Amino acid sequence: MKKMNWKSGSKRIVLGVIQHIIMAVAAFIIIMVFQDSIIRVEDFQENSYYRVDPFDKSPVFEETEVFNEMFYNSVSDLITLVVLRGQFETDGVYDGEKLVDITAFVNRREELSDCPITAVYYLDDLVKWGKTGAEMLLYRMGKKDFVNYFGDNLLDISHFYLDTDGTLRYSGTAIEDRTQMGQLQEIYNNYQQYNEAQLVNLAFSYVASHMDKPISIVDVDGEEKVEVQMLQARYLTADSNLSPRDIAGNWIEYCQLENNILEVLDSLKQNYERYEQLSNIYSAQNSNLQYMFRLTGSKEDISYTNLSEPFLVLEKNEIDYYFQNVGRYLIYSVKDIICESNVWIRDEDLYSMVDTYSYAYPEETVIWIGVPEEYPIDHDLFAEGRKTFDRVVLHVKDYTIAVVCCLIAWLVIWSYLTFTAGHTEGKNGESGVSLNWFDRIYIEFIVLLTSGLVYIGWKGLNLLFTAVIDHNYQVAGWLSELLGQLDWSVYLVGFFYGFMASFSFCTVWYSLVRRVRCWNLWRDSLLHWLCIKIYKGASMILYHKSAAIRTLIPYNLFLLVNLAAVATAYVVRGNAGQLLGVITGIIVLDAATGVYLFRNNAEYVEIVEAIKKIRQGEVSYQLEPGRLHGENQEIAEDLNNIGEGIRNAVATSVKDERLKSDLITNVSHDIKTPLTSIINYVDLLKREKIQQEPVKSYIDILDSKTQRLKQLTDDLVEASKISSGNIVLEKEKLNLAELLNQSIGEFSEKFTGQNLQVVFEQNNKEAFIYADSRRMWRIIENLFNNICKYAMPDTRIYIDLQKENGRVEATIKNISRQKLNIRVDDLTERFIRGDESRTTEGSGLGLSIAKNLTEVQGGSFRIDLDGDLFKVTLQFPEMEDENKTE
Amino acid sequence: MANILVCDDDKEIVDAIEIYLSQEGYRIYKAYDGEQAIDILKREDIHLLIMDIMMPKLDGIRATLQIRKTSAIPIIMLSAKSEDSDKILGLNIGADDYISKPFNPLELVARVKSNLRRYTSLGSMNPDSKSVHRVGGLVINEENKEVTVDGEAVKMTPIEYNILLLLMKNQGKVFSINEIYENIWNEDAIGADNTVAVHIRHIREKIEINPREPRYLKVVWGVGYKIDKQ
Repeated sequence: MKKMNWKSGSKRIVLGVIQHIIMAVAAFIIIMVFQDSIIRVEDFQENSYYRVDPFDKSPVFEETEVFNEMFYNSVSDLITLVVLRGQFETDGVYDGEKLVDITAFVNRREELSDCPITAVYYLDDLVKWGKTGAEMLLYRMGKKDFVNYFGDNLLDISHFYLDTDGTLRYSGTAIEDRTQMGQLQEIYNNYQQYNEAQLVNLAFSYVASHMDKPISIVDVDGEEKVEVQMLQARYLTADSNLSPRDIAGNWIEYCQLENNILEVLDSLKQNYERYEQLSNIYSAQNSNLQYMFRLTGSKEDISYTNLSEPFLVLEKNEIDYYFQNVGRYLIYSVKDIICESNVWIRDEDLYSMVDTYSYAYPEETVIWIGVPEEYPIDHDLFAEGRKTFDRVVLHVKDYTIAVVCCLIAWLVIWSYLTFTAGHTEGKNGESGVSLNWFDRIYIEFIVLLTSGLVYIGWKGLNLLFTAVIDHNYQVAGWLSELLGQLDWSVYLVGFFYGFMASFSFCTVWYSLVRRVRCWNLWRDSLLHWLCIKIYKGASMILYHKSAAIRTLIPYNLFLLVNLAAVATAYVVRGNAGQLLGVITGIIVLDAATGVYLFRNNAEYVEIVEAIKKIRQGEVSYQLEPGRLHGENQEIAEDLNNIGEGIRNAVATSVKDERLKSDLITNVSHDIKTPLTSIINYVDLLKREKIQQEPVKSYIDILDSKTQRLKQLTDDLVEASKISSGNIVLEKEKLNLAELLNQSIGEFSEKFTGQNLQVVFEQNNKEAFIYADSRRMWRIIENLFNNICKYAMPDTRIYIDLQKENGRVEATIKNISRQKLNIRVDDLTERFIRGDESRTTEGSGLGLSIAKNLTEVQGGSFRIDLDGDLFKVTLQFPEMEDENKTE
Repeated sequence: MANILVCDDDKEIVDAIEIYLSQEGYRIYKAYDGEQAIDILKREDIHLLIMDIMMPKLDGIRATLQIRKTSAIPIIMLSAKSEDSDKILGLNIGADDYISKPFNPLELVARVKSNLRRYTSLGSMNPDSKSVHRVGGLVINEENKEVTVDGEAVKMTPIEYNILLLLMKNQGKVFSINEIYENIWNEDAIGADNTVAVHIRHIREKIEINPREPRYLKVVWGVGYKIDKQ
């Protein structure tokens, strides 16, 4: 796997983004074309619209399907409008004083009337009444009043007869033959005197059962009253100022009249709204459409038009001529059922439209409708249609080319990116395939993701097309809620959809291509992972066969036994003795298993503890194998052996170190004896006062080298003793300040000899530490000797003593005579000296001894080099001064 | 002149010591192991013995133990063993002085002289009046303000004399730098410095044979200075 070249990577990303944007633009254009080809109509039906077919082949707008549709709908509207104008207008203007015969209006489509009575109202009153709404009021009256009020011919004696027992009965059917009235009247009169209440009751129950209205009886102060809903007469009739109740002779008539009034109110209300709307839409100011209806009835010609006044009086021929030249037109004669038109409209349709209102259109009606192709009114439907046509249909080719270009560009980029997907060039020009994190996701998830995306994409496409192509505002509702105005939001959604579709597809596709290219379609699959896991598990079990046998088989056996016990317990649940036996047996077994497991684990923990102890240096720790069981016993024995081994190794190492130290000491003794002779005889030679050169200088060399040899042997012994831990410390409380002063005093002559000036910055007179005083002196002595040997003459030596945070810190600084090109660590290593040449005096052990001695006493020793500045820092824990108060 | 027995298994060392001591006018007897040394001691009148420790037949330690049964002559031990423990052992079993090899011949001579003086002439001197303080071969006389080491007068400055006197008067007591300063200069020590230490150093150079291993004026590192009682 090579790291992706940044340059090629970013190039690919940029190309990808361009690709997605191209797709988004294509989607945007498509949505825009469809969205733009919609003409919305402000109609009384909500969300009415026309859609111009963007791919309409018609050369002019007037030939298009949508124009014909508009024209057809307009014709239909106009036929309705003229009917309504007939209802509401007199001589072409709205007439509120117009009289409306309720019953005639309701039955305007029928030959016969269903109601024997009628009422006449002013049109205005009815319209207003309709607008405010009919109101029903609750009337309360006595039973007799009710019967008298509504049943004037109900109480007619002819409805009553005497049965064989001589009881008065109500027959419930009107007796046609009124000739018998006289006789019956007599019977009625007889009974009336004695049984009026019974009679009223009979009459009332009849009326009530035949009335279409809800009637209820309430008890008011012990008297039965009738309650009934009746129309409130907001307006009275035009001719006699009467209410419907007054007009009706009986309850049947009243009910019919009331129903008719309600129907008229309702339909007039609707008609009036439609009338207002249509007359506004098709007024000369608002519509390009021009129409002329001439209704030649029995009495006189009535013309309805939105043309100017003079047209009303023109002859038919003249009107024909006018309309034939207006542009698109239609002339229809109802009587002939002939349609003359240059618009595509069917005669049958026209006929059925007119036929709906046949009551309003007499035989001799002629209809002229026309649209001038110049569309002088620019805001009506036809003008909008024309504009849309010009905008969309005439340019659809450009849009198509743009979309096709986008698609081709997309395909080109797609092909390029597919071809180069994952292709990278390493630093040395070798090519490879690189994968990103997405390509590492298991392929199964990608398949799932893709399915999800396809589903979402398909749903989204449906939604989008429902919203745009079908112009379904309900579906698109949430979109507009989401994004504000519909038109633009749809564009944005289209853009976004295109982008996301391209992005999703490409992401998955390129990833697939890279996977195939890398041959890891299989490797990065969940199935592969599962296979590996199973394979590994199986291998593990096979590899640890003994562990598997020891653990898995007993475990499964244990489970089986328990299961069997439960099953047995279930089988023998009836027999208390057997049940008890089984349960006891299984409890004993489980308890034994538990104890065994616990013991095993406890012993295991014990062994782990022992290992921890040995690791922490307690090598003499021993387990008691006798207390352990089974395999743990073996492990414990092995562990004890290991501990023994370590113990021996440590002991040997300590012994070796001591032997080494002793060896050095002994060797040094053996060296010292001959060295004594050498020193003595060299001294004797010097006493000979030989002036002869070069013998004198030879003797001097011998002298200095023997001195050095002496120093070396001493230091060597000391160093080996310290590093082998072969020294005994005699620690006591001592004052480091005092010690430093004493040391400076000791070295005063040596320092003065080199012209070195000591600056002792002493912040505290007392700085007590707990240390071996002679060894402390040895440390300081070594450091000062070092300074005498290596410090630049005529410089100052700075000594600082400070107490901080319970520690005493002494720093000694001097300027080195020679360049210190050596690591700090090396300075304290044995036999290494600042100059590395080993020609000058000293053993090279001074700093090493000082450092080791410091550390042995619990202090810290640090050397810092900064240019020629040589700085030694000694730190010791401060010792509290118990005698401070003294 | 005194007779000195030099005993060492290394003949050259014995010869070298003979040369040095002969130059000083001593008469030298030579032995090469412990038995020889004891033989010579029985036969001759020996005033001082210089003896190595590690020798064949009879080593220096056992020889010294044997000698000390009959003789009180000064014994200077000479050994390659330079450990403190070795020195302490040697001095405890009866040696008067301990010199570790390799040694400075002049120091050896000085020590021989010192030991002989004390053995022959000063050893019998009675402790006199209170104005005379003595530690081993170091004597300070308050009356004539004289300081002698093994009988030889040492010249001292007044401050050095006062410091030495202070320590001699309080044998065994450790004086810190500040205490010495306050005693000698009679003023408070404002920030002790190394003046006292330098003086002590000078005193040691005058009264000690080897100032690095002082016999009298000892440094108690980090505490102060003292002169031990003997």
